[in-house]
Amino acid sequence: MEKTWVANLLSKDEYREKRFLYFVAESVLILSILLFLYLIVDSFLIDLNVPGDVMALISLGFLSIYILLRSTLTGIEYPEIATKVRYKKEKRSKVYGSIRFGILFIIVYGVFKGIPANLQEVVNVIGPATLATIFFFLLNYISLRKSYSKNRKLLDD
Amino acid sequence: MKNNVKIARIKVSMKQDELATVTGVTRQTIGLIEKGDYNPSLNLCIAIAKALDKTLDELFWEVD
Repeated sequence: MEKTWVANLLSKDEYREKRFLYFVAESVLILSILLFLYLIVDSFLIDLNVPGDVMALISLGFLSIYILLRSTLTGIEYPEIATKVRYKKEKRSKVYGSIRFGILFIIVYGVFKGIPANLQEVVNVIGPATLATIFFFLLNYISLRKSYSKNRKLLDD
Repeated sequence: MKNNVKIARIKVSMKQDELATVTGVTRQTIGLIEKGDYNPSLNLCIAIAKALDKTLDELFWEVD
């Protein structure tokens, strides 16, 4: 891909670049259809009256989550993980990465909401942080697992 | 797309990751090309042909 600024944001590997562009195109097409249906329903059937900021948030959320899930489930994020040793090493690094993410989550939460003053507030911080850490780890783990199993099938005989 | 990349690579005793490094792609991409699950761009076909010292015909032209 040349002559477009977006090329700088894409992978240098042409297979990954192509797959990523497919996922972006799929998500944009689905979102366009959904927005068109929304427009029809809102204009001619029921006045849904969704605020602009909520609509923007939903649209952005849909685009990001769709592309993220497609990339994760296709197994293109770890193209070099093909041996058991590298898989185990990467899995360990994902565990540590997730713990670091959880700690960062708590720090950022503390910066915006202030240091918890009582047990209830501590639970209010630890709860979302734990869920976010588990979610972060699972997403990475599924992606790693998918990539590993895809790469194993492509190894030299 | 059927091709002879794997046979040509094995003939020159090159590993998948070595060919990937030379051609500037990932090992996964080389594996997919060899398996016929991904059709490479012309630029990548040329890079692979040069790395394996073969012509495009020898690697990618189906004969039978």
